[in-house]
Amino acid sequence: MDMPLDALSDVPDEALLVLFANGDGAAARALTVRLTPRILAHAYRLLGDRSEAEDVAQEAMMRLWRIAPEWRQGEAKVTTWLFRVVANLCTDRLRRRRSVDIDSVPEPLDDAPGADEALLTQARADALQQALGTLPERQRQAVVLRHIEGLANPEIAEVMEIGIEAVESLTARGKRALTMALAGRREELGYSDG
Amino acid sequence: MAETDKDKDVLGPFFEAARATAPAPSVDLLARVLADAEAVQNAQALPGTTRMPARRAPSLWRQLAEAVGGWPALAGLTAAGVAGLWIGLNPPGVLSTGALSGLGVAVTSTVEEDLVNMLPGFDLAALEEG
Repeated sequence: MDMPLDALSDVPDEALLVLFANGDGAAARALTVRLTPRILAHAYRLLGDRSEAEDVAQEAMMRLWRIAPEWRQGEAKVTTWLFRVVANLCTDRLRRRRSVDIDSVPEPLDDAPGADEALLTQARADALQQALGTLPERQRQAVVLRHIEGLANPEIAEVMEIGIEAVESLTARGKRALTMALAGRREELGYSDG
Repeated sequence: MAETDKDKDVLGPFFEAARATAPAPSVDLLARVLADAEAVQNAQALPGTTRMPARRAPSLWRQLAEAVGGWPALAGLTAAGVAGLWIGLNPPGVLSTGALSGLGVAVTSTVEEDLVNMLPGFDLAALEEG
């Protein structure tokens, strides 16, 4: 597929959505290329399962396409709205899982990773994802939004529909839990204080 | 707050690793999402209008250019300004200069007529001042 990935790269999401609602094919393509990676990654971090994350990403984008004609400028950001939709879809899926699906949790490495930096990075990411999976949903969501998606607290508050203090409380508790979960694996993962 | 800082130091490399290894969508997923988009656009198309394919500049751009006083005025806008104009526009087919008056479009550079043809589906970096 011929996709100029930088097409319309300076046009804000909200404006692209207006173009999309007016039938613009380039806007459809630009939004698809720009937003799908972000929400796929976010869904994966909330679910720990790539295949389910893809389903959630496609469903979330479908909801965006359908709501585009009614989108009100100046209310929420598109990404804020999408993060909220993704979280709701993930919550539904997590509820349907009766117990933690062990296959959906990234396998920890049995051996210490070699010097290869890419392997080490992946091992750390997998370890974090595994640890994230042990957190209560709302702590996981808050920590991921803050420290991986890079959202500021006010925007997280909007996504999660809670106050800023509640966001800070969730992220603090989530990070403490992650630190404890990862503490025993730091040497294995090549992380040192030096 | 020391505890929070300590947690942040320990977790920093892990968060960085997570960002560095973000799962990328497959071409297949992107194609499915785009196909959904096009299906929704086709279903929502107003009577009398057609969905504008990506490679052709939609006629709305020409209407816009004429309404703001020709190519140079339109080309002088930053991409954000163009987006702002879009936000203020009425649905297709209803475009009057009255709606655009007072927007204060500044002409800051001269460009070829073809520039606006480039806008949807093409690199908007060409609009930025070099």
